[in-house]
Amino acid sequence: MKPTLSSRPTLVMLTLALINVVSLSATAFAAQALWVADAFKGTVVEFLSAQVAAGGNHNQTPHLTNASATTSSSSRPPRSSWAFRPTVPPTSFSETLSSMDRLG
Amino acid sequence: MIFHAGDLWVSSSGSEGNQVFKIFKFLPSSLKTSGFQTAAVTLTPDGSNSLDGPIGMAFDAKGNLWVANGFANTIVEFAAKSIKKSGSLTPVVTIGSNGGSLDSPVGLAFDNSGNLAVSNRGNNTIAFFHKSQLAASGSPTPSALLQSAALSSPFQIVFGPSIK
Repeated sequence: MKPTLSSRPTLVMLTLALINVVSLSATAFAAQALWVADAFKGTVVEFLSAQVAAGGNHNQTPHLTNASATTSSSSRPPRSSWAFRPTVPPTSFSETLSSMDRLG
Repeated sequence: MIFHAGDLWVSSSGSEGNQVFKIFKFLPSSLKTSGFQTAAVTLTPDGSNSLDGPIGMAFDAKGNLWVANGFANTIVEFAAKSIKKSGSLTPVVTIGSNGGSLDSPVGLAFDNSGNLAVSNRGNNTIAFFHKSQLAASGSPTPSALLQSAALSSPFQIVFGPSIK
Protein backbone atom coordinates (compact mmCIF):
# COMPACT_ATOMS: atom_id res chain seq x y z
CA MET A 1 0.00 0.00 0.00
CA LYS A 2 2.80 2.40 0.82
CA PRO A 3 4.61 3.88 -2.16
CA THR A 4 8.12 2.73 -2.86
CA LEU A 5 10.52 5.60 -2.48
CA SER A 6 13.07 6.16 -5.22
CA SER A 7 14.66 9.33 -6.57
CA ARG A 8 12.55 11.73 -8.64
CA PRO A 9 9.24 9.88 -8.73
CA THR A 10 9.35 9.99 -4.98
CA LEU A 11 8.64 13.72 -4.96
CA VAL A 12 5.71 13.27 -7.31
CA MET A 13 4.30 10.43 -5.30
CA LEU A 14 4.72 12.24 -2.03
CA THR A 15 3.09 15.31 -3.51
CA LEU A 16 0.16 13.28 -4.75
CA ALA A 17 -0.12 11.59 -1.40
CA LEU A 18 -0.13 14.95 0.36
CA ILE A 19 -2.78 16.30 -1.99
CA ASN A 20 -4.83 13.20 -1.40
CA VAL A 21 -4.59 13.54 2.36
CA VAL A 22 -5.46 17.21 2.29
CA SER A 23 -8.30 16.63 -0.12
CA LEU A 24 -9.62 13.76 1.93
CA SER A 25 -9.59 15.81 5.10
CA ALA A 26 -11.07 18.89 3.54
CA THR A 27 -13.86 17.38 1.51
CA ALA A 28 -14.94 14.30 3.37
CA PHE A 29 -18.02 14.75 5.50
CA ALA A 30 -18.03 18.47 4.78
CA ALA A 31 -21.68 18.93 4.00
CA GLN A 32 -23.54 17.54 6.94
CA ALA A 33 -23.57 17.37 10.69
CA LEU A 34 -23.14 14.08 12.49
CA TRP A 35 -25.66 13.15 15.14
CA VAL A 36 -24.77 10.51 17.70
CA ALA A 37 -27.01 8.74 20.18
CA ASP A 38 -25.08 7.72 23.27
CA ALA A 39 -26.52 4.65 24.95
CA PHE A 40 -24.89 5.11 28.37
CA LYS A 41 -25.30 8.84 28.77
CA GLY A 42 -28.74 8.81 27.21
CA THR A 43 -27.83 11.83 25.21
CA VAL A 44 -27.91 12.90 21.62
CA VAL A 45 -25.05 15.08 20.47
CA GLU A 46 -24.28 16.91 17.29
CA PHE A 47 -20.84 17.35 15.80
CA LEU A 48 -20.48 19.97 13.13
CA SER A 49 -19.12 19.10 9.75
CA ALA A 50 -15.94 21.05 10.45
CA GLN A 51 -15.29 18.94 13.52
CA VAL A 52 -15.90 15.77 11.60
CA ALA A 53 -13.76 16.84 8.66
CA ALA A 54 -10.79 17.79 10.78
CA GLY A 55 -9.07 14.53 10.02
CA GLY A 56 -6.70 12.54 12.14
CA ASN A 57 -7.31 11.63 15.74
CA HIS A 58 -8.83 14.50 17.62
CA ASN A 59 -10.94 15.27 20.64
CA GLN A 60 -14.04 17.31 20.06
CA THR A 61 -16.70 18.99 22.14
CA PRO A 62 -20.14 18.56 20.62
CA HIS A 63 -21.83 21.56 19.09
CA LEU A 64 -25.05 20.55 20.79
CA THR A 65 -25.85 18.09 23.54
CA ASN A 66 -29.32 16.99 24.39
CA ALA A 67 -28.83 16.96 28.13
CA SER A 68 -32.52 16.71 28.85
CA ALA A 69 -32.64 13.24 27.42
CA THR A 70 -30.42 12.10 30.24
CA THR A 71 -32.78 13.04 33.01
CA SER A 72 -36.12 13.58 31.35
CA SER A 73 -37.50 10.30 32.58
CA SER A 74 -35.94 7.79 34.88
CA SER A 75 -38.13 5.10 33.42
CA ARG A 76 -37.11 5.78 29.87
CA PRO A 77 -34.11 3.84 28.64
CA PRO A 78 -31.35 5.83 27.04
CA ARG A 79 -31.98 6.67 23.46
CA SER A 80 -29.88 4.45 21.31
CA SER A 81 -31.92 4.33 18.14
CA TRP A 82 -33.49 7.19 16.32
CA ALA A 83 -33.63 8.90 12.99
CA PHE A 84 -34.68 12.06 11.30
CA ARG A 85 -38.06 12.09 9.69
CA PRO A 86 -37.04 11.83 6.08
CA THR A 87 -39.39 14.39 4.61
CA VAL A 88 -39.23 17.02 7.30
CA PRO A 89 -35.73 18.04 8.33
CA PRO A 90 -35.73 19.49 11.81
CA THR A 91 -35.40 23.23 12.07
CA SER A 92 -34.61 23.32 15.77
CA PHE A 93 -33.24 21.13 18.46
CA SER A 94 -36.67 20.75 20.07
CA GLU A 95 -38.05 19.66 16.75
CA THR A 96 -35.34 17.03 16.55
CA LEU A 97 -36.19 15.74 19.99
CA SER A 98 -39.87 15.70 19.14
CA SER A 99 -39.06 13.64 16.09
CA MET A 100 -37.12 11.19 18.19
CA ASP A 101 -39.96 10.92 20.69
CA ARG A 102 -42.27 9.87 17.94
CA LEU A 103 -39.88 7.20 16.88
CA GLY A 104 -39.81 5.80 20.37
CA MET B 1 -33.10 -1.62 12.17
CA ILE B 2 -33.42 0.65 9.20
CA PHE B 3 -35.83 1.42 6.44
CA HIS B 4 -34.68 1.13 2.86
CA ALA B 5 -36.90 1.55 -0.19
CA GLY B 6 -39.93 1.15 2.05
CA ASP B 7 -38.80 -2.15 3.52
CA LEU B 8 -37.82 -2.65 7.14
CA TRP B 9 -34.48 -4.34 7.75
CA VAL B 10 -33.79 -5.80 11.17
CA SER B 11 -30.54 -7.26 12.42
CA SER B 12 -30.56 -9.91 15.11
CA SER B 13 -27.75 -10.95 17.39
CA GLY B 14 -29.97 -13.23 19.45
CA SER B 15 -29.75 -13.21 23.19
CA GLU B 16 -27.08 -14.05 25.70
CA GLY B 17 -26.38 -17.74 25.48
CA ASN B 18 -28.40 -18.01 22.30
CA GLN B 19 -26.58 -16.04 19.69
CA VAL B 20 -28.33 -16.33 16.37
CA PHE B 21 -27.03 -13.93 13.78
CA LYS B 22 -29.54 -13.04 11.11
CA ILE B 23 -30.86 -10.15 9.10
CA PHE B 24 -34.52 -9.90 8.16
CA LYS B 25 -36.39 -7.86 5.60
CA PHE B 26 -40.04 -7.08 6.16
CA LEU B 27 -42.23 -5.70 3.41
CA PRO B 28 -44.40 -2.65 4.05
CA SER B 29 -47.51 -4.80 3.76
CA SER B 30 -46.41 -6.85 6.76
CA LEU B 31 -46.11 -3.76 8.92
CA LYS B 32 -49.73 -2.71 8.75
CA THR B 33 -50.92 -4.96 11.55
CA SER B 34 -49.54 -6.15 14.84
CA GLY B 35 -48.61 -9.72 15.47
CA PHE B 36 -46.21 -12.31 14.18
CA GLN B 37 -44.94 -11.52 10.73
CA THR B 38 -42.92 -13.68 8.42
CA ALA B 39 -39.90 -11.97 6.95
CA ALA B 40 -39.79 -11.66 3.19
CA VAL B 41 -36.04 -12.28 3.26
CA THR B 42 -33.91 -13.95 5.91
CA LEU B 43 -30.16 -13.64 5.59
CA THR B 44 -27.76 -15.87 7.49
CA PRO B 45 -23.96 -16.01 7.86
CA ASP B 46 -21.77 -18.06 5.60
CA GLY B 47 -19.07 -20.44 6.79
CA SER B 48 -16.69 -17.57 7.44
CA ASN B 49 -18.98 -15.96 9.99
CA SER B 50 -19.85 -13.10 7.69
CA LEU B 51 -22.38 -12.06 10.33
CA ASP B 52 -20.89 -11.96 13.81
CA GLY B 53 -22.85 -9.81 16.20
CA PRO B 54 -24.56 -7.71 13.53
CA ILE B 55 -26.13 -4.53 14.87
CA GLY B 56 -25.81 -1.44 12.70
CA MET B 57 -26.71 -1.47 9.05
CA ALA B 58 -26.60 1.06 6.25
CA PHE B 59 -27.24 1.04 2.54
CA ASP B 60 -24.91 2.80 0.16
CA ALA B 61 -26.10 4.69 -2.89
CA LYS B 62 -25.95 1.54 -5.01
CA GLY B 63 -28.21 -0.43 -2.70
CA ASN B 64 -25.45 -2.56 -1.23
CA LEU B 65 -25.95 -3.48 2.41
CA TRP B 66 -23.22 -2.69 4.91
CA VAL B 67 -23.27 -4.33 8.32
CA ALA B 68 -21.28 -3.64 11.48
CA ASN B 69 -20.23 -6.87 13.12
CA GLY B 70 -19.92 -5.91 16.76
CA PHE B 71 -18.27 -9.16 17.82
CA ALA B 72 -15.86 -9.62 14.93
CA ASN B 73 -14.90 -5.94 14.75
CA THR B 74 -15.52 -5.84 11.04
CA ILE B 75 -17.62 -3.93 8.57
CA VAL B 76 -18.90 -6.05 5.72
CA GLU B 77 -20.55 -5.18 2.44
CA PHE B 78 -23.12 -7.41 0.81
CA ALA B 79 -23.94 -6.83 -2.82
CA ALA B 80 -27.45 -5.62 -3.58
CA LYS B 81 -28.13 -8.64 -5.75
CA SER B 82 -27.15 -11.03 -2.95
CA ILE B 83 -29.76 -9.79 -0.52
CA LYS B 84 -32.83 -10.11 -2.71
CA LYS B 85 -33.51 -13.68 -1.64
CA SER B 86 -33.06 -15.61 1.57
CA GLY B 87 -29.80 -17.43 2.04
CA SER B 88 -26.33 -17.25 3.47
CA LEU B 89 -24.31 -14.13 2.87
CA THR B 90 -20.76 -13.84 1.65
CA PRO B 91 -19.39 -10.30 1.76
CA VAL B 92 -17.80 -8.69 -1.26
CA VAL B 93 -15.81 -6.35 0.97
CA THR B 94 -14.64 -6.85 4.55
CA ILE B 95 -13.13 -3.94 6.45
CA GLY B 96 -11.10 -5.01 9.46
CA SER B 97 -9.76 -3.14 12.44
CA ASN B 98 -6.51 -1.22 12.31
CA GLY B 99 -5.21 -0.17 15.69
CA GLY B 100 -8.61 0.11 17.26
CA SER B 101 -10.32 1.69 14.29
CA LEU B 102 -13.14 -0.79 14.79
CA ASP B 103 -13.90 -1.69 18.39
CA SER B 104 -17.35 -3.18 18.92
CA PRO B 105 -18.76 -1.21 16.01
CA VAL B 106 -22.49 -0.70 16.17
CA GLY B 107 -23.62 2.30 14.14
CA LEU B 108 -23.12 2.98 10.45
CA ALA B 109 -24.01 6.03 8.41
CA PHE B 110 -23.13 7.16 4.92
CA ASP B 111 -22.89 10.84 4.14
CA ASN B 112 -24.06 12.28 0.84
CA SER B 113 -20.67 11.68 -0.73
CA GLY B 114 -20.55 7.99 0.07
CA ASN B 115 -18.13 8.21 2.97
CA LEU B 116 -18.86 5.97 5.93
CA ALA B 117 -18.98 6.81 9.63
CA VAL B 118 -18.80 4.05 12.23
CA SER B 119 -19.57 4.34 15.93
CA ASN B 120 -17.38 2.22 18.18
CA ARG B 121 -18.90 1.31 21.54
CA GLY B 122 -15.70 -0.38 22.59
CA ASN B 123 -13.44 2.65 22.60
CA ASN B 124 -16.02 5.45 22.38
CA THR B 125 -14.92 6.79 19.05
CA ILE B 126 -16.41 7.58 15.68
CA ALA B 127 -14.28 6.36 12.80
CA PHE B 128 -14.60 7.84 9.33
CA PHE B 129 -13.69 6.04 6.16
CA HIS B 130 -13.38 7.81 2.84
CA LYS B 131 -15.36 6.10 0.12
CA SER B 132 -12.12 5.17 -1.63
CA GLN B 133 -11.19 3.12 1.42
CA LEU B 134 -14.32 1.03 1.06
CA ALA B 135 -13.69 -0.23 -2.46
CA ALA B 136 -11.77 -3.33 -1.42
CA SER B 137 -11.20 -5.50 1.61
CA GLY B 138 -8.50 -4.49 4.02
CA SER B 139 -7.80 -2.77 7.29
CA PRO B 140 -7.42 0.88 6.34
CA THR B 141 -6.49 3.62 8.76
CA PRO B 142 -9.61 5.78 9.15
CA SER B 143 -9.47 9.16 7.49
CA ALA B 144 -10.52 10.59 10.85
CA LEU B 145 -11.14 9.23 14.32
CA LEU B 146 -13.36 11.44 16.42
CA GLN B 147 -13.06 11.28 20.19
CA SER B 148 -15.07 13.24 22.74
CA ALA B 149 -15.70 13.28 26.45
CA ALA B 150 -19.35 13.44 25.49
CA LEU B 151 -19.22 9.90 24.18
CA SER B 152 -19.37 6.97 26.58
CA SER B 153 -21.17 4.48 24.40
CA PRO B 154 -21.88 5.89 20.98
CA PHE B 155 -24.60 3.86 19.37
CA GLN B 156 -26.69 4.91 16.43
CA ILE B 157 -25.38 7.67 14.23
CA VAL B 158 -26.87 9.62 11.38
CA PHE B 159 -25.83 12.43 9.12
CA GLY B 160 -28.32 15.23 9.11
CA PRO B 161 -28.72 18.96 8.94
CA SER B 162 -26.82 21.13 11.33
CA ILE B 163 -28.95 23.10 13.73
CA LYS B 164 -27.57 26.53 14.33
